[in-house]
Amino acid sequence: MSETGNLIVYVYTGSSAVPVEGASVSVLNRNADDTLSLLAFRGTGIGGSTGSMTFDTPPESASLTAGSDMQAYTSVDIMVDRPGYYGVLIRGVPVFSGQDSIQTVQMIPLPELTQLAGGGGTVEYFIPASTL
Amino acid sequence: MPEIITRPYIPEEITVHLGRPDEPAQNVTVPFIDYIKNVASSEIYPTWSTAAIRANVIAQMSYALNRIYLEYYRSRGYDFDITNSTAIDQSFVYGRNTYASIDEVVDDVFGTYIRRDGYIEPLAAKYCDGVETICSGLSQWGSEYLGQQGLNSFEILQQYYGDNIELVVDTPIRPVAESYPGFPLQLGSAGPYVRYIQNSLNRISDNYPGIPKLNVDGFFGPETENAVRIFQQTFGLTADGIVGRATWYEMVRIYTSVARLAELNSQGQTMTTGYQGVPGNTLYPGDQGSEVADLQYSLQLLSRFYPTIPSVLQTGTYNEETVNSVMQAQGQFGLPQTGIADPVTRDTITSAVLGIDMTLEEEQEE
Repeated sequence: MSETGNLIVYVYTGSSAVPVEGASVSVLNRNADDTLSLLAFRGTGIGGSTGSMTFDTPPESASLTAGSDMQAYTSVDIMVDRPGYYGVLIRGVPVFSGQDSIQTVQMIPLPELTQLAGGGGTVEYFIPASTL
Repeated sequence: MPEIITRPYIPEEITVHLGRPDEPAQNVTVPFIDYIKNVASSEIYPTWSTAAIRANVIAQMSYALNRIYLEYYRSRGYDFDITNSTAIDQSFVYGRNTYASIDEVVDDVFGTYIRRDGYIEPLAAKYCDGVETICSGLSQWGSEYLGQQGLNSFEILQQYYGDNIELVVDTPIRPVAESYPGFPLQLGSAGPYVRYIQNSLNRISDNYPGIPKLNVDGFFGPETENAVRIFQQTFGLTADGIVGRATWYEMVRIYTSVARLAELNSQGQTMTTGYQGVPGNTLYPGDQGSEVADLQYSLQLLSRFYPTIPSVLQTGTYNEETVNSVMQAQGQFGLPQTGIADPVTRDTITSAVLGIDMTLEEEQEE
């Protein structure tokens, strides 16, 4: 796999009204046995963004004709954590050769009672494989 | 009486049912532009030719606008505009990523739709992948092959929808106050539009302190250009310092979001002054008064943070809209969906509101 693609994560709250600075963003590869390995780990900056991260991908040609034997993209899982908010896990984020994948994450503040109890929880999203 | 809409418009937001129409499923309300970026990123590949991506995006936008214009679901008693069932409507994967190449095309053609010569309504532009499923509309793979052969997006659309189609561009967006002036604003520009940009950037920079403050003088000088560039970098737009359509609408969107939240926060401070805990009584549909108004305020605030909770108008009357919003909030918090604001529901809603205050206060202290 000599080709690569990029991923940028933007973390906000309140319908993008407030950037979430200092969130931990882990990019993970889900292995065949369902274990996870860490591909990248970043903190978000003042505007809520991780900056660009680069990953290996299948060749671009795999996405340009129907019925290619190869999967058209690589997919990664993204975990975002920040105290005071529900965690977020997004499974199956595609990264294509030569493309910028943009993942916007809207964080939800934890209810007061949950925060006082030191609790948490994770909101999960799942991106199914493309049917093309 | 339903409002009679004579001309199609672009709604600011769209409510998507995450399932088949009759299947119980969540509704989410998202900005219309984000909806289209999501659909395109779910339906096609970002590596495709720009002409193919444009053709597909325009078809997807026409399809959604057709559903909205005809009030296809609303007129049948549903509380959403469209579903994400690919068998019926188009794919939408809540929470998913998008792609820079697709986002750029959507920003560029946002507000464009197909109509048949002599018709007013946006075309219900059907499409399918063209390999696994064949239909009378656009073939997704076919469009990419035509794009590779050098056809432009309109020629691709004509291949599938016939010669008697035309594109309607720059459809007005409702209810957004400020529409794009129609020409880019850049170094040397002057006038009320520039003043609007400067005011918006100043307001946005309260929440996004990386963006420098500007003198509101109506002149697009190097400082304004620099602030625009930083705004563009912050939101992943091409950082050219020029306010074209994409930058204009992103600025309007972020400004609206920032201003709405600030409005809700100042209102909430009045409400929670002397907060003594929620009284233990139940509010019922039909009730009126300040407690209902407070509940509606809370639902408004929650809707900015929980996309499954629809916003309500603060009328002080426990109307149908409030029932629906309370039901969605109950679903979100794992309570029985009665639509009645019993003490547990009211406590749970208040805890969520106070949690938002708590977290955002910490966010601002840092």
